[in-house]
Amino acid sequence: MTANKTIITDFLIDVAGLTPDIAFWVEMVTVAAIYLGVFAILGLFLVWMERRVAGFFQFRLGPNRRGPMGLFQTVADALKLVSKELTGNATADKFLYTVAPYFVIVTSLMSLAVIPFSAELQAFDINIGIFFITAVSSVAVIGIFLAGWASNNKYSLIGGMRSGIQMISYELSIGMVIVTMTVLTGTLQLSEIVEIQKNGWLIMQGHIPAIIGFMIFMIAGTAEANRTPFDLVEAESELGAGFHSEYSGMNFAYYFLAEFVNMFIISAMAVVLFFGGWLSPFGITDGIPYVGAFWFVLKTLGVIFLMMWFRWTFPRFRIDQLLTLEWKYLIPINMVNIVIMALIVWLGLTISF
Amino acid sequence: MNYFTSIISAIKSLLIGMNVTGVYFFRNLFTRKDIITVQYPDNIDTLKMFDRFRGEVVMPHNELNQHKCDACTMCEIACPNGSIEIVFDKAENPHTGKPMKVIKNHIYHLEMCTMCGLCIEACPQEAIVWGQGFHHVTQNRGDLTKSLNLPGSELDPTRIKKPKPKVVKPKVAKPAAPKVEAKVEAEAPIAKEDKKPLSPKASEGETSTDKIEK
Repeated sequence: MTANKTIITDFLIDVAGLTPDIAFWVEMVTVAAIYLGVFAILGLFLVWMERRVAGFFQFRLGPNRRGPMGLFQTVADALKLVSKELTGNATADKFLYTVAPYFVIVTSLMSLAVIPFSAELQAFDINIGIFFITAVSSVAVIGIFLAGWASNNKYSLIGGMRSGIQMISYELSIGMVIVTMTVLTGTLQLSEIVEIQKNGWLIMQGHIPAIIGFMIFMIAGTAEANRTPFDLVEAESELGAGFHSEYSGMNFAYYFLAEFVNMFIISAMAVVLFFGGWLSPFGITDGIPYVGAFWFVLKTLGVIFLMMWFRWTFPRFRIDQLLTLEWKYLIPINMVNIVIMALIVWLGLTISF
Repeated sequence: MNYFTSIISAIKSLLIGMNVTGVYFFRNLFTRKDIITVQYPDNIDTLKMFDRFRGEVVMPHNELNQHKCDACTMCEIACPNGSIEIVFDKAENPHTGKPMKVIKNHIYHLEMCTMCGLCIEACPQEAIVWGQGFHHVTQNRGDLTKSLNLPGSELDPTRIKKPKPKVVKPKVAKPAAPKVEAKVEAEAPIAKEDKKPLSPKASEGETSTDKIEK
């Protein structure tokens, strides 16, 4: 909350009478608490959304009893998980086993910090924002791999190894799509990327290469979030639960929520890179502060729905098909795509209003 | 060239698949008429189960409050987990004057029943059948122990064993036959059972084949 930073600090110094140092720390803690709340609410809401959407795809209704439209069902599930005993494998590596879930949560939270919800609502607007997200989110692989290794269970280990292969491979694709779009924007700062799109969203400005880039981004993002066409990590029919087989109670819930928050982060990146971030369509609410957050969340939920649509349509890949898709198709197409994008930018063929 | 055609055909087939599921999703989201979820506790009054549903064991009674159970205890013997207990009285057969069993209480423990259906298969009189009831939830475990014969009910008089013909010949049997033809046929195996001790399985087999012939 860069813009609000001064407001909060001023308030703390002038009204509450704190020294600037203490005010700084109080503000940090407040923002951290807010983001933890956002993390929990987002995770719970997306689990609920996934279940409702899955229901409609399968001619069911999904959870609709607890609260309005079943919204409190996932809250009840989370409370149940909190109250559960934390069981574990006796031969597990206790330290790594306990630490692993926090790697995943901390990386999700760090990525969430740079997401620009609106022009005013961004905790940490650095000039390498998009690079920061890719760099930080690749640390999540360590959390998953540690979980698989420390559980001392062969199915967990297979799940962890598979996730290592998959996430490392597909990060390459995401990175190259980001390079493609950076050629167009000329900046890595998320707020500036959004500002550039006032002349037309990037998927229009970059037309053909941007659309190809978006398709690759959705494929690689689905793989990165370990969602169904690429869910070899926790393939239910083959591995049981994959890397988190040995986790129970809240430790399991951390993985579960972090998975959904990662999906949100990837969708948010797609919205920032292709669909104009917090900008409203045709500028209908431009200039009104904080309304951008509504458009941002709406667009992000649209992209998340697209990922859920993938999940309930496509069957799971085999591991060799997964790697073939990445290394024989997405990477070469991506390389050509960067060249096309560079040519278009160089020749001034972008479309902008 | 195969490389590029494969990419295009892959995109095309993926879009076809997404179209199929997407049409279902939006139709179900907006109209909800195809949704097959049964909103169970809300629709107890209207929900109708299908004929083959194994909800509970019931004993049908006719309008005169008469049932077909002659207390042979076949079902009690057939039940693998003791869900059925039969309490019977002694009475006098009005036709022969011999003692016969009369059912007093057909106790059915729904809480123990696994709906295996062996009692219904074993019943030679078709006195117990599958009921379609499904709403068994109760606050009190005692409610699940049921008495299948209604209070004040009695055995259907047409089911009371007739005196055995002295000589088993078609000639002698015929005079009684015209009135209740079907009944004589149904009773034939039971009459046989009296003569030579058969295992319950065998008698059950005979009755079932009898039914099929009918």
